[in-house]
Amino acid sequence: MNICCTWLTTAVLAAGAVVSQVKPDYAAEAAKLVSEYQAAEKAFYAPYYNAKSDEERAKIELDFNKHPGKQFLKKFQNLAQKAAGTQGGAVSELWVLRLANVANNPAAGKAALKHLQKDYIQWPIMAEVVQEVRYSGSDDDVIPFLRDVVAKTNDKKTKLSAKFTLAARLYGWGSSSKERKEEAERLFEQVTKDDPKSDAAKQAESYLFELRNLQVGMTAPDFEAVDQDGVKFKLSDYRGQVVVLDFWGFW
Amino acid sequence: MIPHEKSLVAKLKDKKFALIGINSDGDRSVLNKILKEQGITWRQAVDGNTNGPLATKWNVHGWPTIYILDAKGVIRYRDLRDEAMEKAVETLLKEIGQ
Repeated sequence: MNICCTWLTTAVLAAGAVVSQVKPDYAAEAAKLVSEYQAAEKAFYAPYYNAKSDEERAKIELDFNKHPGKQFLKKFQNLAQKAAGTQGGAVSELWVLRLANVANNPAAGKAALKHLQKDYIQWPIMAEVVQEVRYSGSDDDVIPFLRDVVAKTNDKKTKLSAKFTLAARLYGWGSSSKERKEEAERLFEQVTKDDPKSDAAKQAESYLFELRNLQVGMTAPDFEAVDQDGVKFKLSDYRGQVVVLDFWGFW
Repeated sequence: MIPHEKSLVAKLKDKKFALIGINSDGDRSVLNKILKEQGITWRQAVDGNTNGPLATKWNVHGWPTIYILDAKGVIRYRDLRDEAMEKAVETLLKEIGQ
């Protein structure tokens, strides 16, 4: 009886092993790793979020050497390699890209972006990758990547979002070269025409306003506002004075 | 940033100069609490939040974002802070003999 059961268990296990060799569920493995990372990240920031007052919070110094990003970046890199060409691999590359900054490893992010460009450019994951590079990564890596997505993707939404993001990266924070600004302007215009009702089009309109009205050498457009005492005023009330406009928040 | 702005406002109080904050912290009562705590006296446009009408129209994505205008209302500098801001303001004041 005992022998029989042992044999049976072994047979079942062996069958399971064969199945998993044939078709390992990398998507599930990646999803599990993502939720493990999210739990570890939550635990890392817990002292900050659990602080009972602003004063207590101000005293908390998080040790970023202990941030789980570094450890998980390696795990995602391993899975990305093992699961290359599958959805699990794509998700892993995205997470390597996401964690590169906090793990202080820009080279890993750069490599992940290369892999995503080479192996996954037509995959749905590209929508998230494009969002990810709006503010992260260096222009030298991100701009050519976005150009390639715009040229090659067959997904309309991803193309629109990549075009907008490319334009925003080219424009930068307003101090880009004349050529880059001109190309950004052309792309923003395209975005507003490609899908006029989209969120990207609305944001592109704001960039076009900045490009056409808020550059050094242009007369600042007038505005009306209400001040801290409830009094209405206009920027043009200050003609004849040197004015500093400071968009700020106390956070 | 705030300490330097305070000293700039004090130093230039008799000149043709105005510092205008465009604030995204909240409504008037939220803002007035912060102004009181921080000892900020200069004029503020209450913009509500980071998606406020002015921040949206002026395409502001980072805070602080700073525009420095000359007496004719022309944008002359962007995103200068502290000493660099002070120097720019003084240059523009000189242009109008201040």
